[in-house]
Amino acid sequence: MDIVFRDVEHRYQINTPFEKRALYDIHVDIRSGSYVAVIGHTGSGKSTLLQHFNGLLQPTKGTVHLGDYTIVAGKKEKHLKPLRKKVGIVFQFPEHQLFEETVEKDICFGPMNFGMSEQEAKARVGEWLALVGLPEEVRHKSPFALSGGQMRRVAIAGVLAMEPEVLVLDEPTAGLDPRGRKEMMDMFANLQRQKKMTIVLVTHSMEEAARYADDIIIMHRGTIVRRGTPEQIFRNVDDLIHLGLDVPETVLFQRAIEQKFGIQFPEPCLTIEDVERSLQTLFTRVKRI
Amino acid sequence: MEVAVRVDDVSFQYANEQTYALQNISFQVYKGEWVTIVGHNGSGKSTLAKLLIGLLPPTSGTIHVCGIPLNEETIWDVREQLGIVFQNPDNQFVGTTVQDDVAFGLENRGIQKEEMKKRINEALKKVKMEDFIHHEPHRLSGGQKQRVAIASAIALQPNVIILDEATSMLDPSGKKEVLHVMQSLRREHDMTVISITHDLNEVAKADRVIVMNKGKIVLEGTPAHIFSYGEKLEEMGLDLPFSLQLSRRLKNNGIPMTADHLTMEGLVSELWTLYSAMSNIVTK
Amino acid sequence: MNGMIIGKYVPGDSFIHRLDPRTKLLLMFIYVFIVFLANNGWTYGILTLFTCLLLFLSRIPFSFMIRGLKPVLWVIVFTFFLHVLLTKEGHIVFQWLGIEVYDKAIQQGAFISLRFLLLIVVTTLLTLTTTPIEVTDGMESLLSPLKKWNVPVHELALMMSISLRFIPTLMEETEKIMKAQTARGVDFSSGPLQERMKAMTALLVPLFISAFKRAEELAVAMEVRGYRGSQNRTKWRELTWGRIDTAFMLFIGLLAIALWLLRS
Repeated sequence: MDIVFRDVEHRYQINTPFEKRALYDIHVDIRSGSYVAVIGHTGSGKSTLLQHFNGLLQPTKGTVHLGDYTIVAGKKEKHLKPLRKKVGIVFQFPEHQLFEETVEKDICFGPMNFGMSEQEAKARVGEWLALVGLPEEVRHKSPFALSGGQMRRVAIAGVLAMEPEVLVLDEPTAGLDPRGRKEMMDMFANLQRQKKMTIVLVTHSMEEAARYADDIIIMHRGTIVRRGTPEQIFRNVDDLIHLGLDVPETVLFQRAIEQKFGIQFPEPCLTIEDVERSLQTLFTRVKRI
Repeated sequence: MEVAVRVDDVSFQYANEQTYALQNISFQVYKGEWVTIVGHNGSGKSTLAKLLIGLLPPTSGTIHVCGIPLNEETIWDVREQLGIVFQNPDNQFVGTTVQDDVAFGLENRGIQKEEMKKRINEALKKVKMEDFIHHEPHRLSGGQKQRVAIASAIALQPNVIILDEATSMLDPSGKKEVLHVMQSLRREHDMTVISITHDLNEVAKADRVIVMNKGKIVLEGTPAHIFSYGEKLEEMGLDLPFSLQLSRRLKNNGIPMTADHLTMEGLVSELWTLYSAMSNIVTK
Repeated sequence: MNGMIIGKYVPGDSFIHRLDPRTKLLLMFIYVFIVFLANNGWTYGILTLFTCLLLFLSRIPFSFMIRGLKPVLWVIVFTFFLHVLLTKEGHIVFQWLGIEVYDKAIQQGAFISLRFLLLIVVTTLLTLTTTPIEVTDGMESLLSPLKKWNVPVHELALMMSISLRFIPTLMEETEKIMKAQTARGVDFSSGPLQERMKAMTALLVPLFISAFKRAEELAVAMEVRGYRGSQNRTKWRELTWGRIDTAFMLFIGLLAIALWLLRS
């Protein structure tokens, strides 16, 4: 499912003294099956943007195309349910949306809302639990008896169970410890590869964006200011610093080396493995001379 | 050195649970020291925090805060020594505006209006929130709310400040704000700080680090000492600073690094030294 | 809810804004009684004039007030027509399709609608010029004599101020959970009753759980900052009763006497 935004604007509380423009001039194309990271400060408009992906918010100007769906500003769209099945959103701290007595029931809630039979949903719970790396024995437990990290996985399983084509993630690793963060990010990368899902990741973490995304969108004060592959984005470090954004440590390190050594690496280093390789080449070259 | 907090052989077991959440924990925090307690989620560090502020009584062992043994009778005296900042910025904001929130603790202590005014202004100035004195909480960012929480704590002039994962719910700029404020407070006012966290930037800046795993203290020492246990920390689900990870990787690749670097500057300059030495040998 | 302005505070520094909240609360209380003293043209005239004076002194734009009154306007119009149609006193003014309208009925309908309108304007004015926390402080102070009979006035006031503090937080939370459940296929606005019930559970359970968690954490935060009830507690917000407050109360007293004398 391809996603296209054309000249999208969103104003909150339109026609009141409290009117606020949260988004403007948004043009986006997201290819089916790609992994896109959206980066920006709190208040840059990224949460407003992500709510346009399944019609939770509708543009006050412009058009949003989501696969066969077209949402045009000004026209109240009524039949959004089929769209919401195709685009799953995992909100920040998704464990706050759990409400059923058992993990199983909570996971089945979404798919059953979209018309799956209880029988089929229950039969497949095991599959969804495995997808988020939870053991079978949590199935009949209360979600509230689990640890914070496990609760989050249950909530994510509840969204994955809808079998969406697009998965929108809002800060999915906030509040997790380093190990939990890495496991979760690897899990999403796997989903993209195995299930051919389109992934839109909203994050503060430059490291995560650099490591996992095919494409990065940078938002600033309600609009998109940069768009490109991680290599393109992180080639211009000063630009990012100028926008008040963090730069991955790998890129900062690369810059420090380049300045000290008076050299230029051919590509930006996005992971620690990249740095390792570049330094290796540098040092073997000296040895060889 | 004067001891601010002394924890002696403390164990704790939650009711209805077989395993101990804390086992034979002993450590001391000296006056003016910044101690960081790290561990992954479930290591027992949050339970330890609850014990330190008297929300849970230890199953065995004793805790002294500024010389006062912590027990049911002394709990209010002990709390007067402590200022605590919790994780959730919203759930510790009692007042309807910033000034009301800082005033809340002062009111509880029966402090007179004039003195209250002075302390509110001072405390807000220290956390750089003096321009927000009349703001309501829903108009503040997470980082700003946590700064107000710090102001509310320091207005009561405690001897020890406990940060209980105070930055874990904040975005990167909020984290920076709060850490920055804490750093400057510590420089200028010689405060004793116990920070419970899994944020690496905090760990690297501490005087001393205590690492917890499965309810026990597994490591204790300066940040450099702690980080020298690289793999062991990773096994416990903790991250290593980038420079340290890279130093180790390079060493494994046959680049003769002499040290595990905690800072990027250190690593870059050693690499430069090595590089120039090698190219000199070659040119000779 | 967008049109409603009752309960919204409009920041300002007018004469009315600066009055002690107790004065404003007393004014509202007394006004409810004196509004019933009015029963003829003179008394209604004086009352209307007084209310307009309050509005003028508060510097709240007249148009803003009118806009805020819109949602209740139909109730007032309804009251008016009800009286016009049901009262059968005085002379018939006109007849139409068998409906007889008497002059007394029009007068009475107008008076009662006006009374209603004036009451709403004054109450709205109070909330527009007084922050909720001031209202709470004022209530606490006015009710404090009840402490003698063991009424927990301080605790009630604290409860109210904390509720006020958490209203925006909980509203935000409600919206967040609704959005999350909508994304999971819940329809909050339509569908059969059974599904709606399920939808409400999906909203209310998480909301309650989070509210309990918040309450618990807040209680801990209050305790570690030394909260042990009202004993030996000082107050940061002190209400100051000024000369204008006394003057204002005297003025209201005079107004009441005038109304008493002029009523027929």
